Amino acid sequence: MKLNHLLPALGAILLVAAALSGGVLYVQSVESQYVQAMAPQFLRVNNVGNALQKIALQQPDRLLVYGSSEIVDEVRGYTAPEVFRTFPTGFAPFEIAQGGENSLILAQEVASLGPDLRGKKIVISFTPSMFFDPMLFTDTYAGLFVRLNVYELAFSTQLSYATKQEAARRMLQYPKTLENEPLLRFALERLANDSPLDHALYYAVWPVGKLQTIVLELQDQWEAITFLWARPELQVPVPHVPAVIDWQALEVKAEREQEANANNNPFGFDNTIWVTRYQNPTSDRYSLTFDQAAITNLQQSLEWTDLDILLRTLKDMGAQPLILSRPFNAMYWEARGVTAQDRQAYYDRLSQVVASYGMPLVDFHDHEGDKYFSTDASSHTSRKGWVYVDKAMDQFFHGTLR
Amino acid sequence: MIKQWTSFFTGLYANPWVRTVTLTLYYLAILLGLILMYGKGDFSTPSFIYQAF
Repeated sequence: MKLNHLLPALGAILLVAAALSGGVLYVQSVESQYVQAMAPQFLRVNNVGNALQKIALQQPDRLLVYGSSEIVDEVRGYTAPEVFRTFPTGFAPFEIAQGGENSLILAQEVASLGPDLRGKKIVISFTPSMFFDPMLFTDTYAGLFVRLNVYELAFSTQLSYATKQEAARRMLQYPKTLENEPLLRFALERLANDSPLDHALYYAVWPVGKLQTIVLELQDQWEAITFLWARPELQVPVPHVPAVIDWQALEVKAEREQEANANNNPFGFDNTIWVTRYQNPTSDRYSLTFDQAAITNLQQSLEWTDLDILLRTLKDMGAQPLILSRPFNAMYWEARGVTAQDRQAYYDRLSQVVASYGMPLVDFHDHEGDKYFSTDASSHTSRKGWVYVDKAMDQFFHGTLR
Repeated sequence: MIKQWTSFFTGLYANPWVRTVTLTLYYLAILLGLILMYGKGDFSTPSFIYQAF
């Protein structure tokens, strides 16, 4: 009698599984068409799920770039999506970024890419200002927290136990994000503790966690496909036009333009940025809050722990990353009390940390005295700065980065 | 009339093939119902507070 119910139930489950598998294959083929055709640009869905990122990872002419506001706060004309729009040298960036992202959030995003990341090139971008605060604010972390990515990290089979443990310890410092996630919180707590019982309990809940991750991945596929269906204009193919980029000429043009747009202040900041954010000391965030403690943070911020988690994640996943930082605007920060010694200590530490993982680092530290490299105090890249960033990406993609 | 129909369906249901197909459809409907109810994820995040780096 029981078998009478068991067989139909099993049949129904198999039918649903087959339908879902077919659906996912169909959705992935549609996503693939979109990603191939899509012009380099930001999509909000990029920041929410990972379906399109995984598809972009499969494309040989896409370079995934993960970053923060230095990617989002665009300066027209010279950003990577603009310079590489028609794949002049054989690739275009696929950028995933949102203001405020720190290394811990980036580690979650990278972990969510799964086994396909092995052997692939990706760019990790950030600025020194990420290290000014003691740690990422709770509300910022909560706003950037993506359940799917955290599940992928917590129940990853690519990451070592030690990497997941370090990440779990940091994620538990933002308990608000785990209030409605009992399973995830339980797994992270088990990971964070180091007793044999905790290890056993983590592995006991692992199958449930993995199942929940698969459910979230299916939901993400649905989210991505409805997003694409609503935007048929994205499917207009971008022509591929091979061309040689004259980097020197582009730099001269960008510098001239930057100079013309940054002539109302001594730091080379864009005029509008200077007026809205710095001219009046009461609207300058750094003028109001930056003190000796912030300078100390440059060496003691928990961001260094998060950066280590990110680098460990990249290594465990077998990625081939380029770590792309930016220089301080020396003139501005000298005036705020950040001495050449403080700045050099940051560059040295960053260089040591990244070198310990055997990864290439480009931080443009030799440009910190270049007035027109940054467009504001947060080292957001100017027109001229973008030319250097674009060139570094191009050399990295083609394996000619020195 | 109702008796006739009841007797017809009971007889039909006694057939193992009909019973298996009916139960499969029944469980399929339950699974589809669950997917419709819970399938759409909530990808919204709390209001974002930008920590301007």
